[in-house]
Amino acid sequence: MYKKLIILYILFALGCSSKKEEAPRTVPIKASLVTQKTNYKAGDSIRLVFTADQQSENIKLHIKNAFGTLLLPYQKQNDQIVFTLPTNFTRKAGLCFWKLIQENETLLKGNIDIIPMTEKGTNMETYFGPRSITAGDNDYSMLVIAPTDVYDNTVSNSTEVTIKTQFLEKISDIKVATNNLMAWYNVRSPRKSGRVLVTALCNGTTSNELTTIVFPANSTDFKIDAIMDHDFADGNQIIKFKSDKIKDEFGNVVSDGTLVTFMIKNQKDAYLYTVGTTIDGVVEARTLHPAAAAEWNIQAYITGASKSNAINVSFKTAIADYEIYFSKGNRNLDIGPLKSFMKQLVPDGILVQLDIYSSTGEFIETKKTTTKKGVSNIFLSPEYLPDGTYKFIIEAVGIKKEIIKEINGG
Amino acid sequence: MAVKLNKTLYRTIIIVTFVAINALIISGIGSAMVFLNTGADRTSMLHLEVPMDEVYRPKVEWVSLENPGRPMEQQTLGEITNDYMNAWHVRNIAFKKNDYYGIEDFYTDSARVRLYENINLNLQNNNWYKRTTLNHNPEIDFYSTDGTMVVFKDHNVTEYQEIYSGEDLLFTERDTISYHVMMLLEDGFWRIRHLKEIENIKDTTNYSNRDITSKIEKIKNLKGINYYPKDSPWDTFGKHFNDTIIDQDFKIIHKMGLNTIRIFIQYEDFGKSMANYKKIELLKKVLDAAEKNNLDVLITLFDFYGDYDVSNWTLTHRHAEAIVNAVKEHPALLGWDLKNEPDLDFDARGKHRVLGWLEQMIINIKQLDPNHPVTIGWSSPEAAVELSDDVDFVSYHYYRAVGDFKQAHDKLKSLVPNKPKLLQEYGMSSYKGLWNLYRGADEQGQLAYYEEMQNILYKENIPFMFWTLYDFKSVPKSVAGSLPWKTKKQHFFGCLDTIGNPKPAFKVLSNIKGRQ
Repeated sequence: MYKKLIILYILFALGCSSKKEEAPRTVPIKASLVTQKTNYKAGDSIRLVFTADQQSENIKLHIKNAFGTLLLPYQKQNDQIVFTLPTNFTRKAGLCFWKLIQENETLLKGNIDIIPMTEKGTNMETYFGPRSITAGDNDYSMLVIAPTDVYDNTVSNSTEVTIKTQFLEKISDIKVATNNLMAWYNVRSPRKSGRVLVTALCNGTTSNELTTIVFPANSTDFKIDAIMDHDFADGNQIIKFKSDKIKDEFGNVVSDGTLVTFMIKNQKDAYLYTVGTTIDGVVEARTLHPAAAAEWNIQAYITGASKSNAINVSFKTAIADYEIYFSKGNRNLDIGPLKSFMKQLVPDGILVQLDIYSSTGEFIETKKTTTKKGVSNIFLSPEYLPDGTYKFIIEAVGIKKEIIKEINGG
Repeated sequence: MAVKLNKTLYRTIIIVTFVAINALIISGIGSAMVFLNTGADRTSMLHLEVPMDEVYRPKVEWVSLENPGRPMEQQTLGEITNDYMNAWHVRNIAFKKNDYYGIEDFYTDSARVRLYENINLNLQNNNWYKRTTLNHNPEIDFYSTDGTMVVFKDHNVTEYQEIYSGEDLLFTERDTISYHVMMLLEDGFWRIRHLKEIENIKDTTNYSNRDITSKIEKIKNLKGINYYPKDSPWDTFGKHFNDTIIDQDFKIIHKMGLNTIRIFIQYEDFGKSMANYKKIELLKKVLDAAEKNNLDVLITLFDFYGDYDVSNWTLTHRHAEAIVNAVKEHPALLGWDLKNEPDLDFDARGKHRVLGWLEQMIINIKQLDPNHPVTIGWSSPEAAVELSDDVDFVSYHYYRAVGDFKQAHDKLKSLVPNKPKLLQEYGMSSYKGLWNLYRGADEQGQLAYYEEMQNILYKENIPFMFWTLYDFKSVPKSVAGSLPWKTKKQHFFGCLDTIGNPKPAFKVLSNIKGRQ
């Protein structure tokens, strides 16, 4: 029994005891670099050759550039250790760090410098923006040129880039140098509107044609006029506002489609507005004549930029008077016919408003309707308005009439 | 008779077999059910994005925004920083998994090809990398007028990487590398177009300018205690936090003649990478109470943290940064203990990984707070030789027999002669009962232990911190598990019992020699 227990205990103890691993002691390997060259051009084949006093499969070359790291396996050639860098490392310009390692020990380290391969040609990426600017002395577009070699490495600092710009008859040539991976140039806007064309040239490679559109600058103040066929307030004819040619401070006609708001103030200080957009610098806007006599004061604005002179327009009344007929126990009102300045019927849609007050002067209700064929009709239903005496105020085309009637039956 | 007995026997056997078979069937069905119910969390169907903050947070400080192109807007700078960090993150992950995932979001067409080629070669060679970058110091060179291109230099990026071949860790390296970067704004993402390694700039910050002599003097005369409140052991800053109780405890500790306490900051409790400022306020209260009672405080960081994975380094760095910056000016602060007993994680996590993390953390803390010494609480004097060149003073724990202590200490002394050595934890549980087969020390045994131990410590002039003030009613599972023979003795290490009455050993520990 005891024996069994002892055996069990021993087994248990064995299970619990931890393994102690002695780290294998290795004699440090002495290695030296045979390859002397440290400067390469992108695309060159790069071999790093080492000699070592011991050979071991564990010797590896760890290489690193900006885009990544790689571990090259041990390769022996005639007592030398040779590592050939893969193309994605040899084609990347910049510093490439290497470390010869063995079992978490760095035996040797160093770096190679790879410069861009510009002889095989240059590619160019151009970034131009903003693509629209305004004329004048303040705005500009920026051209950024990032030339690269065939392996997509940015060219060395101070590589010359020629920039050509064209505007109207003028073509100019500017030379800039790359710095911080690219070269840049500000294309300043001319005072005239139009298009500026830009192109860049580096190591014999030209870029595409790039464009920035020079838009006219902000408009300056302008003049407006009102055009109408007659000055009766007939609620039918159209009044037209028109500006002169709107220009910026440099004499460029403002862009087509510039929005102009015409603000109309009448004699009661109520506002109306209408909008128009410019074509070739001229804006036209329209609105309907009023239905009642009015005095208009009109001024046009281009928001945030400029305004016009103010003009005055007055409208004569077109309708002298109208009749009201009561019928059906005074519940039915026929208003009109409304006749205009030549005794013609007014156009459909003239507003007629009826305010109803009780005999004691309390407001009861407003009814609105519009004319059709010169007349309009209002029926006061007995369900809503019981029999009794009421005061009616009827207003149409600016003419107000007050009538007291007794409603009785229907 | 015999026949009857046989019959009963058969019956019993049949019934038992029946029950057993049923039990087997039920447990079989049960495990099938469990198997069918496990699997991906249902929320994973939603493909919720993990916010970048939680996975990768290196320190990014823009050195300069001056550039001839266009003034840099704060909003855009934030977007560029974010996408640049994302670019590093997806790349680190890509090299870890040798997978293209995410690369195309943060690298332009021609740049991503280079990464793909590299990943393919790593796949061929069966190598993979755990990489992280720890800090970035970018400086804007150029930001184009239309706001779609930016060129900057990222100076002296500290990178750390572990190279694996198959399952084996081959090589670890820490490097400082500078990059020249061009990023383009393409459909809402800032993508890396060019990335070029450039020369580092000379680091002009002077880290050697540290002022720790007065603290080191204090450590040489340190007489202290590892402190947890009686009712919230291993959870000082939890729900039961009560600064009145802590203040009373500190009064007792001061009265005993001790001059230092050691407290623990738990990594998760303090909010991991997004430090919990409420907890930091509590920490400040504890420090205030210590100051009031003339006690110095040694703060142990990263308690209950045990990952050390390179992918999480930046998170632990932000955690340390928040805590260190919050209290580094506090007069009661004595020093930083980076980690409690990290050597116990060597087996589970790999010695390289643990030491790599510690080494980097020492550098970080020294940079964040140059005026307080840094140490690591090793679990044994033998382990304490690790990183002894990097720490400002050596700390170790000793729970073995008193008789061997002197020898172990002397051995450490001979290996690390030039740095103060603190016995940061020692003590004896007074538990003698069923669970240790009545083999432990009782309260008298504890007294004898301390008598003997204190004698050696006074004679050798070894600074000490014993474990601990109180016996604890409850010990969390995370400390010693839930097996009673392991956890039971954890309850009885105090010199005061669970209601605060002195145990015999208190006599020795409350009469500290050389009290100030």
